[in-house]
Amino acid sequence: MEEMEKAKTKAKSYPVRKVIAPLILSLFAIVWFQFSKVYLTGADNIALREANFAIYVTPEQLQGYLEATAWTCYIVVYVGLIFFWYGLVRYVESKEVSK
Amino acid sequence: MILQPVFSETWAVIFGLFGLSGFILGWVAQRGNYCFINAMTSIFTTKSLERFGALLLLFGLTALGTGILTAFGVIPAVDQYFYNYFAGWYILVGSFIFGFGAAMAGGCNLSMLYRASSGYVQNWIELFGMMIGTYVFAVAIWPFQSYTMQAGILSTTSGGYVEYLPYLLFHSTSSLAVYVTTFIVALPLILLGVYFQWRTRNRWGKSLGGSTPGLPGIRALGSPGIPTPAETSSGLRLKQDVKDMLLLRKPYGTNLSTVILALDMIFVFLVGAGYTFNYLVITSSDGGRFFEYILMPLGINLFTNTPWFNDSLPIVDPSTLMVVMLCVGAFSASYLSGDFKIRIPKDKKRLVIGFLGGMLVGIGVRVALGCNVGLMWTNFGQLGYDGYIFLLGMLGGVYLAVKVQERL
Amino acid sequence: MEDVLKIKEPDDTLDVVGESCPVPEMMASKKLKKMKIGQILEVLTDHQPAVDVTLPSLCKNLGYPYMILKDGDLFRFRILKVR
Repeated sequence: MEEMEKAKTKAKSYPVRKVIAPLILSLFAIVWFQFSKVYLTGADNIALREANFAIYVTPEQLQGYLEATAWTCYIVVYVGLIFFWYGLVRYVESKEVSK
Repeated sequence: MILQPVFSETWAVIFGLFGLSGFILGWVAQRGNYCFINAMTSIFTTKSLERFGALLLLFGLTALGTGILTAFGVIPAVDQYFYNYFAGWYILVGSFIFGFGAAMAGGCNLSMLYRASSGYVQNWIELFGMMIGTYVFAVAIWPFQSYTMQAGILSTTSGGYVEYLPYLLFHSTSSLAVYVTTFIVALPLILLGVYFQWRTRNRWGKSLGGSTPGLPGIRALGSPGIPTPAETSSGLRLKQDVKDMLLLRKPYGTNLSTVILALDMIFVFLVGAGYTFNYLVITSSDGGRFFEYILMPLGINLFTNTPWFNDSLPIVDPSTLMVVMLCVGAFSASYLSGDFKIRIPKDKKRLVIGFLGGMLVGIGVRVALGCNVGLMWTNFGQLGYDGYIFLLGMLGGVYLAVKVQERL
Repeated sequence: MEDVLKIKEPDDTLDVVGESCPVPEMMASKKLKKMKIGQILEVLTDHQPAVDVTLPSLCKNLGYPYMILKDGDLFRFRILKVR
């Protein structure tokens, strides 16, 4: 009985922050990739136009960066979604129990 | 480019592996609660040299690893010294400002990032303060500083091999010179680190009437990391410890984190050799670059007209992904271990101190040309001497901050 | 002697919730100095490193026994001033 009480209070307290946090991580990864593709490529072009070679990054490097970022972001997005789903199930479960 | 790639990799692989190293750095630092500032404040607040000893051990192991790889010809010496820093007044002054600001705000460059990712609002504010501090530096200090650097006023004008200890000691960058220097640098650091840890633990044991070090306090049930019962054999306990660490129930021990972090640094040293700055570096990116990035969508391009931003900061480099992945790694570790929580200090005064401290961190790291990771720790791996200067300045800054905090 | 920590209520409380190092150990050390021998200080914190590392090392260094109670997201770190 006491065990059940304990389990109940534990289940009750599954926090919303734990559900939302991985979703924010996934969104961050998407935004980061889009930002890199649009703004960093744009910035590099401006640097080239102004012939500022102290900050200009060669196309091979920039492409490499974008490719690595794309793959990293895929992984982060999927892992984030998995945890979001897991958290959501736990959250709904805890709501059911508390009812 | 003068450097010749050591291993043939595509840029995507290099960026990816640097990202991975950042992830490991963030994960391990979060799990091991690794904090350079904490290691130094504890010398003055709790009179404990345990964590400071671990820091020296970290530097020693890093120097040993990179030095031996170079001495045996796996990595050419040029890849060890190519990005060596320039010593000068700015390293001492900058590290002092940095140490003071970081100890006031409660986080060095490493702990600020992983704590911000674990939900510490004070470190978010510190990060923001650091961005503003970087801008202040760029506009107000950098023109003056670069003038003194160019004119050679209290500063060396050429880094590279000129500040490479094997060259300074033996006027040579041969394998033998590197080999001998590696031991000259690494051994004292490692021995001193071990001695500091041994001395502190010894004193703890004595002050508690000979009770087992590490278990002097009684812990109530329900607290994390309850010591396993005394009757279990040490083998079983070790197995349980490993299991607990893998399941994220228990933080990593200081020395375990130290070894993993040293290996992480050596990993980057190998991967980036011949391509880029092949050390862990997390400074120029977070303060300056992210401020620049945040302003880009608003149409403000700092790199076109602002000093420092327009001559010292490439649009993107492997460290960018390293910092981002450090935050992802720290967040994952704190989230999976259940430690993640948005924490706001009750005393709102601390937020103001966090911001001001963050600004000093931003100014300090830029004046010093690097932070506790990108300069101090890295420079021990480079077999240079700027790391020692930084360590000295930072200790001074931390000491002052502890004295000031005691009065607040 | 350590049983006192379990039975006796704390004489003073230090709330450092949301704070990170070096604040908890520094404030605790400051407060302990002002307290009398035999009194108990309770530090409220949610900063794991303080519980794992800094507060225990402060106690070990001073030779004070301590006890950690977990209270939801918080830790109650009780220190007995013995000398």
